[in-house]
Amino acid sequence: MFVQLYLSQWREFARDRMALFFTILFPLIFISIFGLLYGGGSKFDEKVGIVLEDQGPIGPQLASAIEGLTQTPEGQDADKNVFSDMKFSRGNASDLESQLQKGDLQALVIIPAGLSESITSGQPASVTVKVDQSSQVFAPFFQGVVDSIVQKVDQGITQSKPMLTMQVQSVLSSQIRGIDLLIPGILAMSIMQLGLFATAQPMIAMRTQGVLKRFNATPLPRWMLLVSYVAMRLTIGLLQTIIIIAVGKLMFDVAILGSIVALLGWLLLSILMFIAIGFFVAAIAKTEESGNAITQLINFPMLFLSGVFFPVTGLPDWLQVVVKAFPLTYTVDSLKQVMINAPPINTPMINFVVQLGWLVVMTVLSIRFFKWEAR
Amino acid sequence: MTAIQVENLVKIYGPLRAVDGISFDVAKGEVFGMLGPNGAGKSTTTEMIEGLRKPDGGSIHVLGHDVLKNVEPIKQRIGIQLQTTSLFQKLTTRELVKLFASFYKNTLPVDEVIGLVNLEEKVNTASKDLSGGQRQRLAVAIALINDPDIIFLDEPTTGLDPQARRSMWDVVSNLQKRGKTVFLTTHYMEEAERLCDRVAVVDHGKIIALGKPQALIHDNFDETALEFSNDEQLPESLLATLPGVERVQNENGITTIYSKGVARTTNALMALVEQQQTELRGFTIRAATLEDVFLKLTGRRIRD
Ligand SMILES: Nc1ncnc2c1ncn2[C@@H]1O[C@H](COP(=O)(O)OP(=O)(O)O)[C@@H](O)[C@H]1O
Ligand SMILES: [Mg+2]
Repeated sequence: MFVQLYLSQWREFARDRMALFFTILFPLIFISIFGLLYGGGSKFDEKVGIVLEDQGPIGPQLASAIEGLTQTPEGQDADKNVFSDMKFSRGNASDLESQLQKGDLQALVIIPAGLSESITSGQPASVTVKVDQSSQVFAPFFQGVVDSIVQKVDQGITQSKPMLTMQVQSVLSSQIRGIDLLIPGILAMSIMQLGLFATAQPMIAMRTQGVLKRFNATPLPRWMLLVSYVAMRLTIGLLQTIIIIAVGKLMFDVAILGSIVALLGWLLLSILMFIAIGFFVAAIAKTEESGNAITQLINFPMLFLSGVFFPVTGLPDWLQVVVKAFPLTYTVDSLKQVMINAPPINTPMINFVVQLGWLVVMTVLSIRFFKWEAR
Repeated sequence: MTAIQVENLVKIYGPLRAVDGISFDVAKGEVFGMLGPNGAGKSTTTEMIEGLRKPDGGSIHVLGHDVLKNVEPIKQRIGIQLQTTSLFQKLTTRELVKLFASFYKNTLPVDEVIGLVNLEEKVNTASKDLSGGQRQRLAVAIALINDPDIIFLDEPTTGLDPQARRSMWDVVSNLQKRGKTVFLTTHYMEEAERLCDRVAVVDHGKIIALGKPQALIHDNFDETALEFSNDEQLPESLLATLPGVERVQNENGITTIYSKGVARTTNALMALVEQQQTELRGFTIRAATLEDVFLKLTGRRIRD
């Protein structure tokens, strides 16, 4: 009976053109559009200022290493170097600072006076990077890149070797394009919408139309109905995400820098979490209309405040509270980390625990409040 | 042996006693009907017997099992057609019957039950594309898949056109021939009279009459009904004085005269009409029906 139930739900789903469209085709169209927009061609063309106040040897080396980002090493595809269109300018601190304020520069690297001196005398010294937070895509990656350059230089010092051999292009984030950034977001969006539209709404419909009641009139155990329902959604979720990744890979050669197993693990966790959230919505919504309202109420804010389309690091503090409360934030963050080594917002442990927490709490509450009949 | 035993059943919804102390027995092989207007408590009673709703009082035994203690053993042996059955929209007739077949230990062949309800031509039609009557028959097919001892049909013909209704009556008659116990609800007195061995007439959650349809009619009436509508409304008091007249009832502009002497009453009525220079519209002479029983007992018609 489990097999029959599972198959029946598949047929019901596969014969529903709208459902197919939203779960499979819609994300693909999304990818294609963004792929074409951001695909091979799009590059960072931001302007960056460098303030070199250090009189010693290390400062200039750092500065030229950063400026060297625009150069593509021999044998590599220049199209893949996203920094090759960037413009660098040097100047004094107050000039460049005001340019950054006006938005003429998007980032500023300040190499302070006495940097080399203090390092050679064994004192730690730091390079300051100021980025314009309104360049949401550029900012975190530029920070990451400068950070890695500084680390390279630093390693060079401890080994007391010349630092001219730096390979800036080997920094992973320099390979990241818009589409690579977007795929984790699209995955997260699809998973959330699976929970909301493909889990909550059909379940509410089954209750209000009396389908659940009819099943309850048979010897079919209730748990089996629910398990087959979840199994079916889990299959759709995995299928949907795998298709998105596969198409992204085949059409746009998107990055998957982490391990596939880890990626599948994170996908599984977030799919289960959103199915549980969907069940909770189905448990508390009495009618299909209120179900619709609740799903939209969850869908929109999460879509825009969880880092699906743009990074959340630049949002004001009071919004950060909201961002932190949204489970989708943790999905997006975990997927970005595993797929493109994005600068983490949370540690993997936090991403795991928070999502597992949502999964457990939502499951418990769903069981507590679930109703089998409309009235 | 009794198939269903219900004693002093009560269901309360807020201030409403939806089922208010109902008791009856249904014998094996019997077609038992509950006849009553909308809101009388038919579905509530039926679903309590099926184990789908919890009563607030009373006891229910189905095939000797106490339903309130444990419905599970009974579920294998009863077939249920709910008042409104909604199933997966995009599955075909055969797929749906097959799905429900998978829930039961013993089942009839899928094509056999589809044949029992005459849906052979629609086996590959999605349930959303079936007509009302076909969907209702599909619901009955699903109720029959486990070859149940008792079949519950909650208003199986409501909303169907006359042809579809007759088709459903054939299905029920065939079930009776196969020795099945059928429990059905209806608000069509004609359906109750034609299909049921015994009928419980219900109103406001109470049984107001119980017995064989013909016996119920005879117990309440040895009169014949004369029915007509009349714009001037010949006064009831005047009609009551006509020879042979037992009772006069006036409802929704339709006057019903119950008479023990049809010839005498008719003649006198016609003379009265002549004399008053009025007209009767839709004048009929008919035997009393369950509708008349309901009218007599409640002062209202079953359908309004
Ligand atoms: N779940 C419920 N909650 C509140 N009232 C109900 C519920 N189910 C039925 N009722 C009320 O109980 C009465 C009997 O309903 P029902 O058994 O469906 O009547 P019938 O099937 O004879 O038309 C009606 O007045 C109906 O509104
Ligand atoms: Mg009813």
